This record gives sequence, C-alpha cells and structure tokens, in this order.
Amino acid sequence: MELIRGIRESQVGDVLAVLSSDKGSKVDIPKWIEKAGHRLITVETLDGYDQILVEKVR
Amino acid sequence: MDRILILGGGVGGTLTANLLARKLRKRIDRGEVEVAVVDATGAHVYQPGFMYIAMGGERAEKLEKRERALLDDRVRLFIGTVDRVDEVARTVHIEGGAALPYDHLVLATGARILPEAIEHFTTEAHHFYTADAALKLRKALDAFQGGKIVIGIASMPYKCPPAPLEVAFLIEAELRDRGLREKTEMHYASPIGRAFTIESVSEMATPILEEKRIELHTFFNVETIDPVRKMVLSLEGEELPYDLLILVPPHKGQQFLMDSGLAPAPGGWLPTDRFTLRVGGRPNVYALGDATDLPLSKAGSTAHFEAPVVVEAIAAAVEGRAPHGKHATYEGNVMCFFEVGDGKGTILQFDYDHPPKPPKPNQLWHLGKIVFNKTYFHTVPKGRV
Repeated sequence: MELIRGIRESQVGDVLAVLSSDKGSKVDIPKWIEKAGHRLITVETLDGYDQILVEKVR
Repeated sequence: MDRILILGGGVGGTLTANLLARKLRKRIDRGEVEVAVVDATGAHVYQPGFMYIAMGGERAEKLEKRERALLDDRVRLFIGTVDRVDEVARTVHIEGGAALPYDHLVLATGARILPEAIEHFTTEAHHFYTADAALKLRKALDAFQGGKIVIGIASMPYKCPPAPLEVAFLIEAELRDRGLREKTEMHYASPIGRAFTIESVSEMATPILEEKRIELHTFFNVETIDPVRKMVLSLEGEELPYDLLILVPPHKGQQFLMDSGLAPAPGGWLPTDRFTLRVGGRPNVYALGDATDLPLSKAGSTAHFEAPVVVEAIAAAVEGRAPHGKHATYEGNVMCFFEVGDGKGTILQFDYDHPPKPPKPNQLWHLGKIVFNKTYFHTVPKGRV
C-alpha cells in the first residue's frame, strides 16, 4: 500500500521502486499496476526481497 | 521510584495498567513504583459496539463507562490531551501546561479517523466508526427504499478489518427481511486484490459475497467522491454510482507521536518490534493496539494479547531481570469474531506463523460475539479473561 501512496504523491513519468519481503507482493503489485493503468518495468528477486519498478503513466 | 506512564485509556492502556497494578502490587504499596494512565476524555468506549448501533441493536450509552471505574485503585488517572513527548527529559507534556515524568512509557494511543481527508466524505458518505456516525447510518438505512449501495474501504490500514464485510452481510440480510433486496444492487469495494487482507479469510468471504449477490470490486482505492453525479471514483480509474455510500474513513496514528519524533509521517504508526513491542529500539518505550505499525489487525483483541507482554517486559525491568514465561514475547496472536448475517458468524484466530482457518459460519460464533460484547466491561479491561 506504500506504492499507492507513492503513486499519489508522484508526477506522471516518475519511476518508483518497491522493495518488499512479502512473497505476495510480486504477484499482487503487478496486478494492481495493470488495473491502475501504470507501466510495470521489472520485477527482480534480490537478496531476501523483491524489487518492483513501476512508471506512473497517467 | 519507577514511574510507569501509559498514554491512552482504551483496551490496551487500561488492561496494561490493571495487569501492572496486579503484578507490581507490593512495590506500588511500598511507594517504589507508580502506575498512571493519561486519557483525553476519561471515558472508556467499547468501539466494536458502534457497528451494532448502525445495525439497530445497540445504544451508545451502553458502550461507555468511566475509565476511573475500570482502573485498579492503585492506578492514577490524568484526564488531558497529550501535547508532546520529550524523550530527552523523559516527560510527557499535557495541553494546558502539566508535565508528567516517566521511566517507562507505554503508547496505547489508538488510531484516528479522518473522514475530512476525502473531499465530500462528510456530506456524502456514511460510516460506523463513531457512535454518532453509526446512528446517522441507521437513520439512512431506515429511510432506504431500494437503489445502489456501495460499501468500501477508503484506504489501508483501518480498525477492525472484518467490519465492512460484516456490515455488507448484515445489511444484505436486513434488506431481504424488509423485502427490499430485489430493489437493491450491492457493491463491495476493496483496496487490495481480494475481499480481505488475509487470504484464507478472503477465500471464506468471497463465496458468501457471491451467494448474497454483492458484487466485489478489487483494487478500488477511493480517490474522490462526486456529489453531483453520485459517484465514488477510485485511484485506479473505476467509478461506482451510489444511492447509499458507506465507506471506512482513512485512518492515521496520533499527530503528537509524529510531532515528538516517535512515529514517521504521514501515517503516524509507531515503529514497533513485532516480538518485544518496543518502539524504534528504545529500551523503555512500548506500543500496543491500533497505534503500532505491526502487520496485524487493528483490533481490541490485538491489544488484549499484547498487554501481558508489555506488562512482563516492564515488570522484568523494574525487578532487574529478563522477561520470562509465556508472555516474554508477543507471537502475533489475534482473535476476531466475524458476522456473516442471518444470525451466523465465524471466528478468526491466528498469529504471525499461523493464518486463520475460519470454521463454517454457524449460530454459535454469532452468539459468542454477542455475549463477548455484553460482558466486555466486566472482563477484558480488568484482566479477567
């Protein structure tokens, strides 16, 4: 839900990174990005967490 | 002298005070320890009852007792609004000028609701997070003769996670009884990708929504309300028309916690260790209940299970030993009743490592919730259960 706050506070064209250790995030967040009409850039599993990059497009 | 200061006279603060008074009784009587509670109103309110005001079966005056009457005689009570915490001087400043020193600080300061954070919320949307709002919703339901009902959650986190689903199920049952169900469309808007945060509960609740013909809208984070078109709009770009709009308002932690540097803006939730309940690594500051940032239900039962852990930690510090026994750490225990309508309910019991496995809804758990609500003031705050 931090991503939603970040999207609300950012400008179109901004890229946000979500770092999450919750395994559900790499499934739930891309679904939310698609529904909200933003652009998923990458989902990457790093050392103990996932990094999800998203661009605000509207 | 060890001065233990508890901010907040809700479930967590009151129970912590009473358990400390019991555990440290001899030291308090010898004048070695002092336990005090600061509460803004001096009234202890049983908030889970608000939903039942909206559903027609409860009265506000039955949900309130004087905090003094619930506290052990060994506990001092100060009625006043906290202005700020001075951690360097270990002092809590009260509006109007009083200053209360502490050696151990317990933050049981709850959550605030902010309906005004969404434009037109206060004129267009109903909620059930205060007694007055719940009564207003009851009147709106009484006047309702059919149309579109939208029930949703403005944003996360919020108090009593099952409550909006319970309200949806109870209203659906009421409309059937009143012969209005066929004239009513019902919609449920969830800010996340399913009906409820916990997957197993979502799996239990989703078929009930389907069976009751309540349409589920996922990823619906309320952005604005259009009072002219009678539409609620989501951040995700969806619009839902309404005749009756019921929304859980946005929630935050207390402003003075942010102003005092104890909790980060904008949420104001206290950074709390999931096992010790210490705040931000501080050795003498604890949080419990709705005020924490723990990934758990903001519910009275969470505070109920956390209080003995805070008490054991403080008693151990006073007695110069390490915390021990079954309350040495908090394991994320929570227990919530869950109404599904038609006189049936279920129960959610879980901890950090064990998600809930709600039993098939039946009359027993509905009655269990009613009995718990009716006996609350005699049991929970006094540490009898």
